[in-house]
Amino acid sequence: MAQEPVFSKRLSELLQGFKERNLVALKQLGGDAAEDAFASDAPCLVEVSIAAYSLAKFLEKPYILASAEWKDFEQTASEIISAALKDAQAGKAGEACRRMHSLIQEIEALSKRLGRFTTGVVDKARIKAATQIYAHGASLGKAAELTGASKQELSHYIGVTRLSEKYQTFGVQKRLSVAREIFK
Amino acid sequence: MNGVVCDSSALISLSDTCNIECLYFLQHNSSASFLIPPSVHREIITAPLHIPRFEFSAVRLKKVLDDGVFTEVTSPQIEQKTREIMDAANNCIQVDGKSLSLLHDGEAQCLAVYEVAGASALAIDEKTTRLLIEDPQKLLRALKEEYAGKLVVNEPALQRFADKTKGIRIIRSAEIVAAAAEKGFFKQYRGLENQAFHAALQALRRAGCSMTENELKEYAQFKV
Repeated sequence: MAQEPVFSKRLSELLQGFKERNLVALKQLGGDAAEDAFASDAPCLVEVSIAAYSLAKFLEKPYILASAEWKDFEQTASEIISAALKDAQAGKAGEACRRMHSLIQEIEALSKRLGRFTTGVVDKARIKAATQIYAHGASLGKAAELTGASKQELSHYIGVTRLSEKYQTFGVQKRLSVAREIFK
Repeated sequence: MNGVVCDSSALISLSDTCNIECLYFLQHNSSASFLIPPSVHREIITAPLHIPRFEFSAVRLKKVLDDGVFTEVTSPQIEQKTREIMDAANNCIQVDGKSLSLLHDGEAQCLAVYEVAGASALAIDEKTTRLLIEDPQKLLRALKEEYAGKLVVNEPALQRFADKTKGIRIIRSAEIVAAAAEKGFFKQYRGLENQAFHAALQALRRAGCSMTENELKEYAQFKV
């Protein structure tokens, strides 16, 4: 279960960022909440990260904001986040987590109906959260497990970043000499 | 017979870049055999087989398994050894008093199978397992930057992990392809043999094989 003060703090930031349509704050929250999720092994904080990133993606698309469905979605999303925040503050982290899960489903549904995304916005948000977690020390498997991201898509995403630059251990010659011995 | 335990990260890189044939080639042209633990079977075949966008990848890898190119290792010892490895790895580092769960069951099972099967190498493309085994201090330095002032190292757990993984030799999908290249795998490209090899390395990197620019430069000196 999420550490409640952190969970409440992040939910509060999510609500504020969404109400203010603050893209920068929401994207920052996407990364911070993923980092918290890994540090406290709390999948509920992953939901906050995914929601923050996805909502930021919606807010930067004028055609989504201008759609007939946006107003209802905006109200529903705000209500869910507010209710989750109240639950978290009351120590009912499980209930708050279930509400966040329902928000992710709402986001996924809107993304399917309106989005012109090559990858679903929630799937992309999972990859972003997983990459942040991988960068903070988790293995690929752990990052995928915690976020629900596909290991395959995560590998490809990480492959085009410069994350591996920090992590060279042996040189090619040394590693290749092992391979030559194995495959002789 | 030199057993090579394959993590899903290496198999995904090889399969997604159309280099999985290297495993067939090396099986026929070397004394190596490829091994996977049950968790890797689940990750690369069982689970994605039911997800339309990953189904073809799963079918391709199932064919490799059915062709006998890699073998699933099952043993009652694996579960206990996996637990011990995870217990050590996932208690090595604490942030704000809580242990960071660094490894997943899949990677830990690969390490357990390495010991159970008496393997000669672990093929893994992801960085955390490799760093924990080869250079944990480098991983710690990187994490200290990320968690400034909040990170505490549990030295006994780190030592326990080091004891359990002592002697494990690591290669990546890149070295599998390079070894195959040296043995003539890319001859099928006739005049483009060398270019095909280096393009394959680039593709592996983009598919997630943890390789630095410097390593690619080192490989650039390598002609097949």
